[in-house]
Amino acid sequence: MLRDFRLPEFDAPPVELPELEQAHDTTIVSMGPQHPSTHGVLRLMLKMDGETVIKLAPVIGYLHRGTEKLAEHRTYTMIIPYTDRLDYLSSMYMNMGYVLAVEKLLGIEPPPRARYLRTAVAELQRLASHLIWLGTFALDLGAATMFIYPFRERETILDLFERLCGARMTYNYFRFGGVMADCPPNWIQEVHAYLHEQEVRLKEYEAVLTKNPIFLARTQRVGYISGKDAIDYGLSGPSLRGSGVHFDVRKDDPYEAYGEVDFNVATDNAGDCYARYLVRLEEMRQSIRIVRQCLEKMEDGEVQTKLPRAIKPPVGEAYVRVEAPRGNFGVFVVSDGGPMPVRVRFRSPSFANLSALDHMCRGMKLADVIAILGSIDIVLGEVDR
Amino acid sequence: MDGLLHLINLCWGFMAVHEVVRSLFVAICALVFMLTIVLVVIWMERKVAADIQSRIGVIRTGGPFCFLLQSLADALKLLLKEDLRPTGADRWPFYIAPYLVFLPAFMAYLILPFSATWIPQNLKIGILFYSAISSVPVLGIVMAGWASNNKWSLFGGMRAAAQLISYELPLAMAILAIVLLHGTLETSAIVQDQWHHWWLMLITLPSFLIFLTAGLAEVSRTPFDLPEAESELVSGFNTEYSGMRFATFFLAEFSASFFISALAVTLFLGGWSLWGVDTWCAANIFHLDVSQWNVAIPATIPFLMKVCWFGIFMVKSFLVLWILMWIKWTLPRLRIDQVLNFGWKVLLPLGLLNLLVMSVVGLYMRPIEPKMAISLNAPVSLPTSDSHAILPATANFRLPAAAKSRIPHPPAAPSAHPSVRQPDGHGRQ
Amino acid sequence: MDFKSFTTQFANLLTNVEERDGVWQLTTEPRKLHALLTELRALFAYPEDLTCVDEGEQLRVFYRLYDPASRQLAHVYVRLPHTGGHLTTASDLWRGYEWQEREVFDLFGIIFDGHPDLRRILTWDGFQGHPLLKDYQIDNEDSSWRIPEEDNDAIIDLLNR
Repeated sequence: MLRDFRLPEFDAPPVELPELEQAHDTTIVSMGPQHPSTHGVLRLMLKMDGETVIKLAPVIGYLHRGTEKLAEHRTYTMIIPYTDRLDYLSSMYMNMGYVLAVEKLLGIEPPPRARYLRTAVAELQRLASHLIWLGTFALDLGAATMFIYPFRERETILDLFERLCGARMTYNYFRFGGVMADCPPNWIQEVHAYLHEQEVRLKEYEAVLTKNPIFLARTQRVGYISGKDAIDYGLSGPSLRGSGVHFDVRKDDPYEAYGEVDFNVATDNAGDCYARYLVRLEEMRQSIRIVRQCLEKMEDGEVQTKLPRAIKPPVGEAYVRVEAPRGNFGVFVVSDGGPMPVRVRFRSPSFANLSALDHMCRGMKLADVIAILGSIDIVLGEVDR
Repeated sequence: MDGLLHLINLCWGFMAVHEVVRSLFVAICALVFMLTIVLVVIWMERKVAADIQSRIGVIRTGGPFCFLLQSLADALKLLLKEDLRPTGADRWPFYIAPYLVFLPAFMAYLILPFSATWIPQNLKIGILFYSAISSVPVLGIVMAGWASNNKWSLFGGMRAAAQLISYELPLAMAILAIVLLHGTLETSAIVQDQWHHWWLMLITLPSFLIFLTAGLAEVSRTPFDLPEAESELVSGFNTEYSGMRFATFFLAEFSASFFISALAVTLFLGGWSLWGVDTWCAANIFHLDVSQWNVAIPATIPFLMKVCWFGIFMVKSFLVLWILMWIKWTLPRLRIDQVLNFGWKVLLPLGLLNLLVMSVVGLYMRPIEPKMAISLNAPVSLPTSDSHAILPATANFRLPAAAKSRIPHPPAAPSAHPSVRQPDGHGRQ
Repeated sequence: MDFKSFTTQFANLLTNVEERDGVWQLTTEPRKLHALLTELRALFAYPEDLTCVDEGEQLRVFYRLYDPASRQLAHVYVRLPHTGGHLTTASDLWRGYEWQEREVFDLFGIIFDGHPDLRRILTWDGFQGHPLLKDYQIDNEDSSWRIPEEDNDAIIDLLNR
């Protein structure tokens, strides 16, 4: 258990609420595509009885850019920047998923230094992504100052990434067989300095939010989903682990250097928004641990295996999944031996997480819908592709 | 001609024209003061927010003046914006709503004692006046929410109505406790009562906390800022307003914030006084004759002293306001049902309990004077001997003068009540 | 239940079986798909992915199932003709497949019988065609820039059902 105090056990609220369904005075409200809290262009159609939500239907597709279709007309290397734009808040992880899938097809492995570098960078990306989540979640709940503090730390990470690969948001850093370039001098020391500061700041964030009675009142028992239902919906990531299911791809199916570093998987049994919040905070602490270990274990060496100019994987298909900050990100690549793939499929975690929103919001108030949407942490770029 | 002059004389007296002129002047002064204060408050809010968020705030307009001109620039911008009205919006409620919200916020300033004799209108029913007019903005907000023809605004309006109505009661309870303690509704009298008795702050501490909490809810500040919850309702009831109408809502909100702080200072923190330190300074440093200051404020107090008191009042008000801003920028927002729950099930019972305790305390500190007891045979609040057959509308109703007594002090001379002008026939020449 | 016993017990539902890298690869016919998935429901609780590959003359639908408890993965493949393919919905077995099936319908045109709400999900209302088919003509004319009206009726029906 991550928390040191527990609410008494409560009966899980029922999903079907027949008495609400019979209500006469229902309104259908559209939280339209442009809204301060929907984290992107998402439309939520709510059927409400006063302030209580009876049913919720998300409408997506506003950010559909046809990435999978585009990928069929691009060479394998040209697709890497497209993956950056899927979940643009965790670009490194999107890169990693796709690159690992193609590497599996090609049957190559990156050199050890690249492996550790990739893992460290990916975990830094997880930190950055969770910081955004924390800021926007707090902002949605009204704590405007808690929006600024995580973004201040995220600026440090973005500066680190800029020194590393030249970009602040969509990195295009991973390559088949390694990474684009080695880290600059002093970069590792800067990362260590940042990690030290982040640990201190995490305590600061906790001091503002974790035991705040208003925050607790807004997030506990709100947006409940049981472990069984979460699995049934295909949830993943902190949304699933907040309901007590110990499913983390980094432990179940280790990739990169995760098999060689020591970390814990954060779970919480409560299944509400508060549980997901605690899980993500704990994940941030574990990410700091992982980055430290990776940077220590990293030895000098090359950062990319030599590959032919034109990448033409043999005929076959490969499905690789990674634990992106939002959940289980799967990439399925089908090759027919040519320079361009036959099919690239991105299984995005936010797509499945969003499908469970209706279940979590039944019987909740309008203000809770915002809190729940914030706690499942979706990115529309990934939902719509 | 003679008849005309007689008629003019009658009208002048009847309609108390000079009283009207004076009131108009005072009102305009209060309006100008309020708008200036609001601009400063907006600047302060941005600076305080920036400070808490580890950044620098306002850095663009008005460099030499500490960037205070930024608020003025914002107000000018809002003035110049296009005035929109959504199709299907209910015209007259839409137009009137901002003013219904703004006017009570402005009128409330009339009862604030800014300094010893500086109070725009020393109403004998001061606090009651505020309690009464503080219910009017609710109407304005609901009108704004409804008339906007927008479901989100409607949500905001409904939430606001529920919240504001719910928290009026605990606010009134806290104010009532003070009124019972000091035995008067006049704000200037309440301040004078606290003047040399700093220990009253300790007694009124629970009332102060209840007042602040209910006050935060009344002015819709976080954690009670649901009516304009930006992240949920895209600005709630004032979503569809633009330009000057929006500016009116905005001004009303900040002016109400300042007012609540100022009222808290007046009722609980000694108002413009410095709990006796000021009289000590006046006696020993400026060598003024302070012997009568316990009983009445003589007219010979130097202007500088009054300015000092005004300064003390403003500093205290801004201090309380700073605390309110601190709260706003730290805490998340409560959900509407939690707000209502808290108001009715926690704050109201606490307020009632506090009222009970304070009434006992007040009774102990101020035994009931026989003349204050209401006789069943005599009518209440008889005007004194210089009453007239027709009472003009601007008359101040006066209770029998001896009914005013202070906390253990020699009883005041009946006609020397400190801050009311001597009766002069209700404005007649 | 392990791979061998499952494939022998339900051999009538399967046309091809293989175990590659520990992942069950099961192929079946369209009309036997639902029965197979029902049997698999007891073993695999997590509906990880549902997608489709356009292989020229036929579409290959691909279900990926996972069981967190046993850490076992399974792939189920079904081949359908290029147009007019029908499959029974799996959303009654796993709720996670509801949206995935809508996506496959939207992008490939496969109809899932029995689906509670089979509407397009990623493309806009009124979109013609199924984009991820290989023979979909990419529209290079300016007409593709029209912003269509949103169809609220379908959603309001869904909410009121």
